[in-house]
Amino acid sequence: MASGEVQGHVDGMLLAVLSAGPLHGYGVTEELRRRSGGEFDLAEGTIYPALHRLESSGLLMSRWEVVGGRRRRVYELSSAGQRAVVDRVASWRAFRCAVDAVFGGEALKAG
Amino acid sequence: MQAADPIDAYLRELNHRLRVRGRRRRRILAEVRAHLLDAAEAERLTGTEQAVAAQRAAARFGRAAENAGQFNALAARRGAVLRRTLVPWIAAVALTLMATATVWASRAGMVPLQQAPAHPSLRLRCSQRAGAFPAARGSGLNARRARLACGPVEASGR
Repeated sequence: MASGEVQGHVDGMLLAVLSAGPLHGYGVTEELRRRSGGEFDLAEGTIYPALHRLESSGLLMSRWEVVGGRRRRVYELSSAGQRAVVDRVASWRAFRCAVDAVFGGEALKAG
Repeated sequence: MQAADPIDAYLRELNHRLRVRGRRRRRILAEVRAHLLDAAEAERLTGTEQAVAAQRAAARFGRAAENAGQFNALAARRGAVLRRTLVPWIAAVALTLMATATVWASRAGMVPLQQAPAHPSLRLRCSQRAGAFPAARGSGLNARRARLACGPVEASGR
């Protein structure tokens, strides 16, 4: 999938990935790749400014942890972040239904 | 001559292009370094030679100039928000302090409230002159002498 299409949803996807539990940056990119079946072709570095931005806006918290002998910054959802995930998932589902309806999803499948 | 390690080269370029200072800059570089080392290690586990693994990890991370640009833009936005928040507060505190000093000077009998000099340095000069009469400090005499010492204020007042 083109990175331009993904870019507008990065914040929501990062929140969704972190809703499963705390992860460091590399873990987040691995989980994104795994969940998308390798479909998202994002430059891995682009997630860090997004993680920092989400932390500044109070949706994420972070701390240093030593994992496997290496110091890593671990991110997790704040309580505001947990509420934001619920909102974004609901908003995405409504959007997807609307787009499917416009594209005539059922008709296309049948055709 | 041995070629530079691709991860070190990437971090050097990122460090050069970042316009973020202090702890935040160190945090960015430490996070990126840990990510690149993790990614290179994962590549090596698939049987890739070390230098190639490091090269691929750096390539997958994206161009250092673009990543630095995103961090710089984020820092600039954060700075603008901080300025918008702090400047009104600093102005409010400064005005409160100036008003408090004026009221205090007036109550101490140094300067009539309605005729207090506008500039803080003028008030200071009047206070210093008032301090020149220690024997009568706190008395009406001191207040009168202090007002006399601040000639221009007295001349236009009472």
